[in-house]
This record gives sequence, structure tokens and C-alpha cells, in this order.
Amino acid sequence: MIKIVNRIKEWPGLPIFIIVLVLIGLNASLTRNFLSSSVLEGFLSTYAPLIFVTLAQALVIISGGIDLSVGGVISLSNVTTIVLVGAGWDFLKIGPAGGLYICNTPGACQAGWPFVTAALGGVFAGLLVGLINSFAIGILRVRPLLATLATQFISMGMALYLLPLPGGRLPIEIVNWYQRPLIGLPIAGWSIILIALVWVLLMKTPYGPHLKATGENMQKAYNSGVNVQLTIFITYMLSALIASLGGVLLTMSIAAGDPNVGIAFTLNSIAAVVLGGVSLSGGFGEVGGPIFGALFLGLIVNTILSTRVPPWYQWLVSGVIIVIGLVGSISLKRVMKKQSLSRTE
Amino acid sequence: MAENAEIRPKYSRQQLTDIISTIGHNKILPAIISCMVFFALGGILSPGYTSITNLGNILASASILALAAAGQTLVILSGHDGIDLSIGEVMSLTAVTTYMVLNGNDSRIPLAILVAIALGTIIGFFNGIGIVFAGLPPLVMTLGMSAVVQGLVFASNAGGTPIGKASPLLLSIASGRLGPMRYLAIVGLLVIIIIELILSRTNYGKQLYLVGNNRSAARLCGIPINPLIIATYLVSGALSGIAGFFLLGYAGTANLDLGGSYTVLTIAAVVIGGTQLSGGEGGYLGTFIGSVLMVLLTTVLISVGVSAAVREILVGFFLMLTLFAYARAPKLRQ
Repeated sequence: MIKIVNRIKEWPGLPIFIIVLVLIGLNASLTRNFLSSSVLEGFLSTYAPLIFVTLAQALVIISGGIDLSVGGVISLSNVTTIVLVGAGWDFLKIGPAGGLYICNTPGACQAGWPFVTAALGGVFAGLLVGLINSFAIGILRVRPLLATLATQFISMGMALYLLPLPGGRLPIEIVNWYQRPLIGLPIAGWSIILIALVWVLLMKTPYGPHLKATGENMQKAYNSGVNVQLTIFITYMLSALIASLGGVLLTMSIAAGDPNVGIAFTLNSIAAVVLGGVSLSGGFGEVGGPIFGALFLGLIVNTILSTRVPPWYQWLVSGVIIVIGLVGSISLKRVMKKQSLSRTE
Repeated sequence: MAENAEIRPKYSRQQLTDIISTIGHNKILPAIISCMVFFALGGILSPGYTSITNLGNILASASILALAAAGQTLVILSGHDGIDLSIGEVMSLTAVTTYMVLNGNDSRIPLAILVAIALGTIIGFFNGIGIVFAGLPPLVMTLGMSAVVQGLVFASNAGGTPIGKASPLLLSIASGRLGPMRYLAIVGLLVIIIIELILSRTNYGKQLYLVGNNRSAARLCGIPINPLIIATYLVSGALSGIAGFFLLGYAGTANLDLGGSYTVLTIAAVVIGGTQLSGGEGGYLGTFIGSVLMVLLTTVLISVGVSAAVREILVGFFLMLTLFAYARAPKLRQ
């Protein structure tokens, strides 16, 4: 029993977990019916993509790197899915000028792909970006920050090429299927549980310890026989995979394509990871903290919306709260570290 | 050889080796060669590209980027993963405030500059405080700050298009020319001289290199590290503020995301200019050449009619290529 209490006490995600609980209480009092199932379903459906991207980011950060291309990847996966649904193989012909709009003329495009195949295409596109990251960082040893900055350019450009302006649509059945609850939870909720489970299982494989060793000290990991190159290669591929799955969820959530939809995800994912108690220096981290970090960001937006702040102040307010949250969580960590140090002395 | 040096004492041998080693060490040479290649390529692909007027335009455009990249250079030199990701948003903000403050009125230019510098300074100050006292990694702090500034831009116009007007004088500063030289290019040259002097001649500059190279050694030398770091982010903010002011003159009208793309471009310019991302090594001249190279790359692509999207993809690949040449981590196997 004491063991469990201690483990909970030492869980780095504990502060953010408590804050999330407080925010849920706050929202429940501000928004009528916040705890009703339909509102919660909507909330989960909206923020499942962010949770996916956050986990993609967390994986990379644990490996000691950073991934600035997740925003581009989610845009690319979103846009590719929508274009494939709308135009099928004709996506090869869709240039920067026409976009999907040429398909508005009947008979101009071939039949689109079914959603599942199109989504696989979207994930494939995201994985291509991941492959560039993996190759550049894992094998060519380019610094992660700079390499992913370059691939952010590449992926955003690709998304913009496929769909210059927001547009396209999804079959209504898919949108309904995404929103409808399935045994108590919407698809979004189940997908979050699934990805968390996969994460936990993944960390039980040799990859888990290798990832953390690499993140803590690459040289030491290499000296003790960890295949650092392979570990980093896998990490950026996995990151792109999870982020593009998030892109597919996002596509179902917004039911359209938007080349700029991913821009905010880069900052939000990094913020959520840091808020979740994962150190940016790498080597440590688990799945719960980042998820609650992402939920925190979602709840903040929800709270601001419900307090009727004029829409043009919402970005400012949420930005300020994110920065305060980051400063707070890092300072808290420092204080806790100092205390535990003074205790051991 | 030594005798020759005595006969023609214009440069001593030591000085010559110094100069050669600086050129080789700062890795400026490849950037200069790339610039020439792109310029020649532009001339081959589109007639008129190599005209002196176009060269002036390229330098003017590069000067704005170089002005913003000056702050980035200082911040990256300061080491410890120093980076400023709020530059582009600060530029958007001050471009919009300049637009609103001026409202077509030349007499308000001093006020507009003051507002731009003040806003940039305040944002840079917050960046510095967050990094030094709260211990946030620079990447996170400045990225978070960029979100705040973006919110500020949005809020300052109540979400609509900004209302105001650039004044005639600002527009003529940005587009006017003295012979083939555009005024903006002259501003750029002035900035090179000032920043290089600061880096090589002032205490601040010397301390910055030491702090970037080895922070604990700098601490032992009694260098006030925290104020120095805060000052560096503050200067970076102020410089991006001024860059936003000129950017408005260059663009003519403001929109909410005028400077957004500049953040990445400044980092590219600094890295191509041979400044090490680990800090303590590099200089501003390289950054300026890096800025010219980024502008050359973009304008060559524009001149052959490449769409914005494909341009972005190609710039990304070019960036990756340069990173492969410049910014690789050492091998693990010794």
C-alpha cells in the first residue's frame, strides 16, 4: 500500500493530473452539462488528435530529441486523406492551381477511395516524412531540432501542394461513426486507450529500455551495446506514425482538409509533454503525464470558451496560460528536485 | 617567406594565417560560393536576374532577414541550446503596430520605431527571464512566447484586418534607392558593421563567446551570466522589433502573419552562415551571407515560376542538405 502511495507521489504527471481534475470541476460548474456524456464525447473527439501528436512528441523527447515536424505531418496526413477520398488516383494530377476544386465539376475526377484506404494513404504520406527524419537524424546525425525544422518545411509544402486552400469533405457516415459512442465511449476515447496500451506494451519490449538509455546518454548507451542508430530511426518513424494517425482522427473530427491545420500542434504537443512532467533533456517519461498535459490544454480552451472571452482574445489568453503553466511546472520540478536533494544530504 | 613579410608589411604572417583561419573556421566560404552559384543560375534561368537593380532588390530583401537574424545569431552564440523561436511573431506584431501607429502620418515615425523597439524589448525580456530564472529550455520558452505574441497580434485588431496605413517616408525608405543601392541594403551594411563591432570589440561580445563556449568557465571568470543571457534575448527581441518595422515598409501593407515565416529563415541563415548551434562559435558576417543565400534561393525559384508550395518543399530539402554539411553531431564510435 505504502509502495503504491509512494509510486503515485513520485509520478511526474501528478501535478498536471491534479490540475486537470480541478479544471474538470471548474468546467462542470461553468458549463452546464459538462459532465454529460454528449459533451464529454465531443471533448474527447476534438482532443484525441492532440493526444496522439503529444505522444508522438513525447517519444521523440524521451529519446533526447525534439520533433518540430509533427505539425507538418498532421497537416499532410489530413490533406492526403481528404484528397484521396475526394479524387482517388487523380490526386497525382491535382496540382497547386486546381486543388480539389476541379473535382466539383461532375465527372472531372475519378471515384475517390473509400475512407479506410484513403486514411492508409494519409498515414503513408506521414511516414515518408518520418523516413526523412529517421534517415537524417538516425543515420546522418543531423541535429533533431534543425532536421525536423527542415522536414516541417517539406511536409507543410507538400500539404500546401496537395490542397492549397481548406476544402474537401468526408462522407457523413464516417463523421457520424467517429462521434457515435461504442460501448460507452466514442471511437476517440477507445483510440486513446488503445494507443496508451500499445505504448505500455512497446516499453516492455527491448525498445523501451533502449529508448530511455539513448535519451539519457547516447554515448553511454552506445558503449553498453545499444544500437543507437536503429533506436533513433525507429523512434522518428513511430513518431510520424502516431502523428499521422492523429491526423486521420483530426480528419474525422473536422471532416475537411486544411493545409494549415497542423501549425498549432507543434507548440501544443511540446507544451503538453513538458506539462506532463517529461524532461526535455530526455531519458525519462511515461504515457500518462503527456496525455493529461494534452487534456489540460484542451480544458483550458474549453474554459476560456465558456467564460465568454471575446474570440479575438482567446489565443492571447490561452497562450499566456500555457506559458504560465510551463513556467509553473518547470519551477515546481526544480523545487521538488532541490527538496529531495536536501533530504538525501 | 618571413623576409617577404618584412618587405611588404601590409599584413604580417600571423595576421594572414588569422584571416585564412577565420574564413575557413567560420565556414563562410561555402556560403559565398553557393551565393555565386545561385546568382549565376538565376541569370541563366531568367534574363534580367543578374541586373544590378535586381541585385539591389535581393540585398534589400536580405537586409530585413539579416536584421532579424542578427538577434538569432547572438542568441545562438550564447549557447546552452539558445534559440529564439519568437522572432517571426514579434516581427508580425511590430509590423502591425507600426501600421496602426503611423496611419499614413510621417511625423509619427519616431513614435512607431519607439513602440516597435519597446514591444520587442519587453517580449525579449520575458524570454530571458523565463529561460534564466524559471529554467525553461529556450526552445520551449520562446515557442510559448510566440503563441502569446500571436495572440497579441490577433487581439490588437479584434481579429480583423489591421486598420492603418504605412507612411510615405517609410515606404520611400524601403523602396528608395541611392544609385543601384537600396536604402534598406545600406541599413543592412550598417547592421553588419555594428554587430561585428559589438561582437569583436566590446566586453559584451567577448563575454558572449565565452559564455557560449563554456558556461562554467565563464562563471569562474566572474562574468555575470544571467544578466548577459537576459540582455541577449532582450536585444534579439528589439532587433526583431526593428526588423518588423522595416518589413512593413517593404511589404507596404500589414497582415496578421506578415513575419511568420521569418523564424525558420533566421535559423537557416545563422546555420548556413557557419555559426555553431552549440554556441560560442561563429559570427554575424556569415549570417548576413546566409540571409542573402536564402533570399537568392527563394527569388531564383520565384523567377522560374515555381509555386509557393513547391518552393517550400525545395527550400526544406536545401536546408536539409546544408544541415548535412554543417550541423552534424560527432560520431559515437571513437
